[in-house]
Amino acid sequence: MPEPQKREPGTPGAAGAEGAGPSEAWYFGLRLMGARYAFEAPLVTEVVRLGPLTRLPAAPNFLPGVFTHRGEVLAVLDLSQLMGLQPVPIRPSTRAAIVHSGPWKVAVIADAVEGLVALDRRQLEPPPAEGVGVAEFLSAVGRDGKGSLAVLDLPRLVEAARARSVNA
Amino acid sequence: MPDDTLSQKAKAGKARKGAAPRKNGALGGEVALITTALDEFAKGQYRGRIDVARIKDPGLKAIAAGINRSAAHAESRMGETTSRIQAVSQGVDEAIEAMVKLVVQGDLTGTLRLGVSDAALTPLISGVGQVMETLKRFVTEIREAALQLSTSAAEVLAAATQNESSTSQQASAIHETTATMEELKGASHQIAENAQMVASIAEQTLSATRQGEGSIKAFIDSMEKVRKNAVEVDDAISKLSRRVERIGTVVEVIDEIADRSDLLALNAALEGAKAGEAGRGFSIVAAEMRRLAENVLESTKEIKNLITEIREATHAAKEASDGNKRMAGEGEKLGGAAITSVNGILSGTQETSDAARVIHLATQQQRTATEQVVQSMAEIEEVTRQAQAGSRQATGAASELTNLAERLADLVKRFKVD
Amino acid sequence: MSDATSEVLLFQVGARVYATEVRHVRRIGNPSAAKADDRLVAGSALGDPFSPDRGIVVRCDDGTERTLVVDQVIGFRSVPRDHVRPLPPLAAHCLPSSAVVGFALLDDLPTLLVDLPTLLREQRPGSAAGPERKEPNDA
Repeated sequence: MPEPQKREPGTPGAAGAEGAGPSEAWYFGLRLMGARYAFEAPLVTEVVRLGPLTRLPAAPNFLPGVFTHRGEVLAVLDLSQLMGLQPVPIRPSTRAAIVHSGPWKVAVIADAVEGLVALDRRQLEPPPAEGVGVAEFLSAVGRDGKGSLAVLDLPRLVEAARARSVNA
Repeated sequence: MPDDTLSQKAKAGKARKGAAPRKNGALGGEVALITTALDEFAKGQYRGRIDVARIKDPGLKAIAAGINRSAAHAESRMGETTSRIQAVSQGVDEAIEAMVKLVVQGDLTGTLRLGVSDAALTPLISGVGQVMETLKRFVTEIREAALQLSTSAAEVLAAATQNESSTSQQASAIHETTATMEELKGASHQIAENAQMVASIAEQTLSATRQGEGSIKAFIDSMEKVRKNAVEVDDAISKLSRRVERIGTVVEVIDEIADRSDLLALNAALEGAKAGEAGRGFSIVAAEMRRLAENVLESTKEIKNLITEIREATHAAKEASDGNKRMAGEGEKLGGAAITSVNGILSGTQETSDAARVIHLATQQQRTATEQVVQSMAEIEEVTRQAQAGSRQATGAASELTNLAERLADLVKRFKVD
Repeated sequence: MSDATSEVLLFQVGARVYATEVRHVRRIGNPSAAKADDRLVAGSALGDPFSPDRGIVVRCDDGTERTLVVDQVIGFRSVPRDHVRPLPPLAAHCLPSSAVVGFALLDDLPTLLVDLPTLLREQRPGSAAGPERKEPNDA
């Protein structure tokens, strides 16, 4: 049951926001263990503080629990643990990016939230061939002034999560 | 050949008589010839001969011839004797020489052979032979004696050597014993001193113990009291425990009832919930019941906690009391033991006093005895030392003896008797 | 039962509180009184109870009755429909059990809503520790 996408004021539209050229697109960046990741900006509806988590019984480790936001129960995804890295420490200051794609709506937590990033569409490259670990849920790899950026694909993330939860 | 000297002498004699008548002159001259010759013979000269042709007197001629014949006989007889004497001399010389040679060379096996032979030498020869026989016998005997002496000397040496070593061992053993005895002497001296000390300590102990006896008795009494007290405490605790247990039992029952009520209320509420609106009133009542049951459960929970606390406190008290009892019991035992040992000490001290004195005396005696032993050991040691010296001497003597025997044997070895 | 509300029973297993719709609950009992056979379930996808104080007797799909042992039966609540939330798709995708069907928002805190028959079905001996995975949107 898809919900109308909520847009925060200031969130750029799909095409031609101020500062983005015709060949550029907006992405929302996250930092994880020093590496930079991003979602397509339109998919990110909000950045919130994590509320109290309700843990789920027998859940995989990258699913620390659910929390309520604006009356909605959202699942929290620990991107770091999904990649087999250390858990993101959950503190009152921890920020979650609510990412929405098709039936999936997930509160993604990372070490830090970078915010909006403009990438040149022409400079996007396909993800590296070895589908080990991270590569399997990337849709592309981009570059900007600060370095490279791995663009995450939410459906693929979910699939990876499902695959891993069988083994967990 | 008539000696010219004789005739000269006769002439000279004649000459002396010169003036005598010649008638009797010729006869007188002839007698003078004879007389001269006889004088010579008397001097031992038998070589002269009277010239018989000169004598006309037939009687005198016969006498002169006879004298010549005697002189010749005597001369030859003397020659014989001289040669005989020479021979015997030579024989004796040879014999002596031979004997000397024999002695020097040591060959007693042969018999005497002389270069000359004379009947007069026979006794000499047999005499020398006898001497050699005797010498032979003598040498043989000496040789045997020397041999025996050697053997005996060797035996003595062996025995003396053995004796020396055994006496040496004996000496060291005795020395050790003496040393031990010395130590013993020293130790017994110490014992005697200690006994003295013990005696005085015993005296002190005696008086202190008598004092102690009193305080121990007091201690025992107090232990007795503690024990009695502990028993009382024990009883009180037991009573308390029993009461608490009874309460506990009641509480358990209440709990069970409350629990059952709660269940009942729950199920009632469940039915009410299932019935929805219709069951609303029912649910309310059920909720009330639950609250009641919960209250009861709360209180019983409180009581249960309290009971637990009481149980723990009682347990602690009991443990303490048990500890006290145990301690008191032990104390009493100790006290009892103390009294026993005090009594023991009292009697023992007395004994010790006496014993100390006895020990003192005994050690005195022992000291004397020990000293005596030491003395005896010293004497034995002395004797042993002498024996050692003696055996060393004996060894020395025996050794000397052996040497001498050897030398003697060497000496007589030179003589061949076989 | 009105369409506006759901009647739920709150209970506790281990350290967590769960809610379940009362329509599947037959009664509440004392597990020590019940026979210890496979009808008594003392460990499930919800975890293990600390102490077997209460049992929720559940009417299962096949008509049998099975008892889920819980630490505590807390009470009943009327939950308005709009206080009921579905399980987020990702959670449904990744949880091994399909027993958690949603959340009841009680005092704005999401309380796990459990379908007890499903839970007990997953616990059936033979289905061991690996209950079937449910896709989201499955009933």
